[in-house]
Amino acid sequence: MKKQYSFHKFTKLRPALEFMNKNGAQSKIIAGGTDMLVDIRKGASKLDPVKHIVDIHDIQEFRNIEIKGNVCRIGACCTFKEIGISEDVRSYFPVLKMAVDRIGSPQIRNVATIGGNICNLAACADSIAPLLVYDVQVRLCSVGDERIVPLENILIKPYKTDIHPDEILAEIHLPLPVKDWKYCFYKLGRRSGVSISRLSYAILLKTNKDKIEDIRFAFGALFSVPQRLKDIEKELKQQSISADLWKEVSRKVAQKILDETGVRWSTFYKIPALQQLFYTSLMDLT
Amino acid sequence: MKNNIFSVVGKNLPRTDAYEKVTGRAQYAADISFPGMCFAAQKKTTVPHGIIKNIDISQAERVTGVEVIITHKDVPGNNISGVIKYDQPVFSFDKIYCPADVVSLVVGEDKEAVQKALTLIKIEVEELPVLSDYTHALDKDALLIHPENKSNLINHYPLRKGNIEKGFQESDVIIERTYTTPAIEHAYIEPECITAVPDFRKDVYKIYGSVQNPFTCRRIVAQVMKVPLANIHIIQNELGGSFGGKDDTMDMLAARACVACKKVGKPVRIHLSREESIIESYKRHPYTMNYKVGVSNKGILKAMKIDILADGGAYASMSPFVTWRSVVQATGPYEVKNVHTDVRAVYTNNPYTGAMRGFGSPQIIFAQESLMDELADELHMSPIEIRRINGYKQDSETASGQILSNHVVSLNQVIDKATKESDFEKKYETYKAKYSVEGNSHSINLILNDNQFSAGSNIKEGIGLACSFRGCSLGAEGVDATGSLISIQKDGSVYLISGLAENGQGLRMTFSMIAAETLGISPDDIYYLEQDTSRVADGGPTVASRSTLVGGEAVKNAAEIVKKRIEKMLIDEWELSERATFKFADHYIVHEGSGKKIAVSEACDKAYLNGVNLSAYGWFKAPEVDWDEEIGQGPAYFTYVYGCQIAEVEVNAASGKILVKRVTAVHDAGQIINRLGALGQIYGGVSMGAGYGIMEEVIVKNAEIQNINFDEYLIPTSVDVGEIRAFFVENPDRFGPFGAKSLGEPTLEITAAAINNAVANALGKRFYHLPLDLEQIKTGKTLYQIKK
Repeated sequence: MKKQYSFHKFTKLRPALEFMNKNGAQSKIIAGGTDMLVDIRKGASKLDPVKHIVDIHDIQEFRNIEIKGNVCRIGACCTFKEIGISEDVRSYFPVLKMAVDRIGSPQIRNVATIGGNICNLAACADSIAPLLVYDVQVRLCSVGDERIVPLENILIKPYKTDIHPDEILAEIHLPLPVKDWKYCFYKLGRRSGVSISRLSYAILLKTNKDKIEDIRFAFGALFSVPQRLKDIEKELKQQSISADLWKEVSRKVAQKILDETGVRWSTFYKIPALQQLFYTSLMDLT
Repeated sequence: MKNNIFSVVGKNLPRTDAYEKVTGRAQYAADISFPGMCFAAQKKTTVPHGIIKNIDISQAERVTGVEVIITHKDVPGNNISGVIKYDQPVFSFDKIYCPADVVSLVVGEDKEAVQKALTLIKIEVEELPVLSDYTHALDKDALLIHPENKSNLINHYPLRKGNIEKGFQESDVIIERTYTTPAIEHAYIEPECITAVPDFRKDVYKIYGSVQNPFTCRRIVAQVMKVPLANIHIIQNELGGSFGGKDDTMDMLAARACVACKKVGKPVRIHLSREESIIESYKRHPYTMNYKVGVSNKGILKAMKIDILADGGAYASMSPFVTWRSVVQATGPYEVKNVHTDVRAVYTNNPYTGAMRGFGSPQIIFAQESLMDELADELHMSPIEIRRINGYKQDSETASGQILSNHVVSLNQVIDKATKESDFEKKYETYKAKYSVEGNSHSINLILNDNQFSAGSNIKEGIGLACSFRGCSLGAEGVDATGSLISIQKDGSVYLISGLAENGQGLRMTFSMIAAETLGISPDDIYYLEQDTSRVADGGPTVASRSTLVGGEAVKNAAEIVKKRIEKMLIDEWELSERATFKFADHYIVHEGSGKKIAVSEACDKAYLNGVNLSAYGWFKAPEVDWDEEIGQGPAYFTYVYGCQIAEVEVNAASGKILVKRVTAVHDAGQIINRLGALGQIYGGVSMGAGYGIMEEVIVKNAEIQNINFDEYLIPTSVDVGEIRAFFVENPDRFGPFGAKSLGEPTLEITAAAINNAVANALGKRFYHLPLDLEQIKTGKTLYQIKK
């Protein structure tokens, strides 16, 4: 028999926070529900402690995209569709635009939200790798309090973030990047529409003549949660760009994934595929 | 072109049911409801194979809101059923054969109570070992699924022609390859739904549902209920897709619902969820095919030795017929003097397999067409050349010894058209020249060394061809006859129904166009009646791409009977000679000698007032066919169709992802009746075929399906298959209405093979296993995630 939940829909932030303050431990927030409804249908065990479904999709202050000073703020309940058509996102954060435009199907993009993508934290969440290369921070609200932390700090393990039970993810803060980044987003799915990533990555690269001035890359569906590889990035600064260098980088990334995830059913496919794909993307950027 | 001889046939006409379907007005099985209707949920076990020790329903019965709980004890008639062999329990009672088995039904008006009671049924099962690997089903020490048969063999079809040893001796090149294909799901958009409704007459039941073959369903329900056929009325609702998949599954559900209906005395509905649908419904047969082929240096096929094993799953279902089509067509459309074929279907504990669009042909075409390309490569010939040398021509002899003389053998026509339209030869050579040298090996080391990286684009283009011949309709499977009923009203409007059923393929429109052409009216004047087994004679199942050909001819026959009566009346009325000829077109009847004319509606009114019978039964019985089971020889089908498809792909060599960029499909289906409907068949068939080629697979481990919804069972979306270019070669057939033949299945059966050949052209590497998914292309192996 299907489990029953009580459903609470809020259109204002304050009462939602108060509800979470009281019932956070037994509540699950939905913003679009495209992941949660599947879990509910499947009777997923992670919902065992959950009694309340809290719908925050229509809290208007979570639906804005605006630039203030040097920061672009994207409300957590913005849908992928809204982000995809935002002029600000297109001109400053093209990697994010490329990623959100290819999530699911038009129907999914009309309801699924960026906040939901982060909070659900699937290994294959497509919007997170692009956010990581843009060094974003997230604003988390609770009754009478808020904290702003780097996104990567709250990504713990699959389906587990460091957002406290009484907190609601309010906004994503994207520092405006200087415009001369070269960029790439690559997503590989089993099919071209309505597909879940087998692997994805986002790359930002700044070059000075034939040297790397700065480089950032993050990966989806390869580690247990989307991840930047800052150690490897750091070693690359000021190095001369060459095919051999990119081969070496691809191997290092692959080795890192192997070290962290071990050998799984998909390893014999994913690891060789990733190296060639990543290498080709780096070559295409330079 | 030909259109000028017809006023309706051959036109592009939107379907009569299109408006209702796209506006949501059409009523599907789950859209209708009945007063006092109960819902029934099915109890399955979690054990794939075992002996049932005890079924305890006592606790479940006590749940408030539950009306009755049904088990095998409630079945009035046969509890063991099946479409060909009787081997499938309607309600399991002694044994569980596979995870699709149903032990009992919980029935009640309150859905929640029903669900709760379902969890309280206790079934004690003593687990048996599981036979899931069908390639070991015929081993000497194999576990027996149905021990009373003494073997897991469902059927074996041998075909012997010429002298196989001599053929191989005469060969200069011999190659031997093994091909495998997976089980796949029909993936109709509407999951199964059935409602059994009691009648005020004793032992009479009306059954409404998404039933593909109402007469098969009626037979099974009547046997299970132990009532005469006439007592069971199957009323077909709009069908949300079938593709051959709503036969046995629906028949079983109908029987269960009817047993419950009798006991509770109220309407009872079973409506499957998508997960239940995928677990319970039958699939396409997985095949393992061993082909050994000998060919002379000049490219002449000398011998073919074919050994095919099909996984039938737990029940025979359509296996005997599916594999029979395979044995007839296993050599492909090629003349081979010496053929030695064995096709066997076997029992396992896997999901049972049955009919699916294509019906035993997509598997063998994948093998034989891949093989033809490989032979061409060996002989340094083009894929077209080897097909030209060996392909069927007028009066060719098939593997079963049939001389193809009574229809136009158009294999070369369709190949010519397809290769010309796609610029095949030039592209094939261009892409072939681009093979990378190291392309032939898969890396085994995880971390690549420097020379394992490749420079430049990962995208490789390829083009591939495949062709087929296909016997139309049932062939020697069984009785092949069907009827149609037409009734013209005095204002010229028409009721029409046929013994074959609309499955979503557009049969109602095609039949309406055939009747309209004959009577000189418009399809809009025809009201196609709801399908009901009490309205029309048993015309066999709606399968085997037989509707347009066999059903259409029956419709034409009915319309012509009435037409003759109207003509006779006009001869009397206008005092014409007995040999007067009339033209029926554009709503008028014109006497061709005098030019005298009358509106069809007026003529019908006159006929009515004169007491002329404006209703008629049309009938068509297919010409005789024959098959010698011992040696697999005989004229298997009374006519054949030919098709050729060319796939153009882009393969990402790094990721293994295939983009089907373009498919050029050329089919000779005889005279096309509804051009728009025919195009729809090609677009749909090619898309399904592409899915079979590159992504679809029901993953079965230990007899259990791993991917039970569409998040994990992937079918192509509209952006996964690129341009489809469809062309018809129209050689009229002597048997079909206005020269029409078959199209539904030919469109699907060739595509995967064409894609496989295109991938080989792109990568310089051949693949032998479907689907050509990412892992297959990249690693040469199938990799699975198995759920714990």
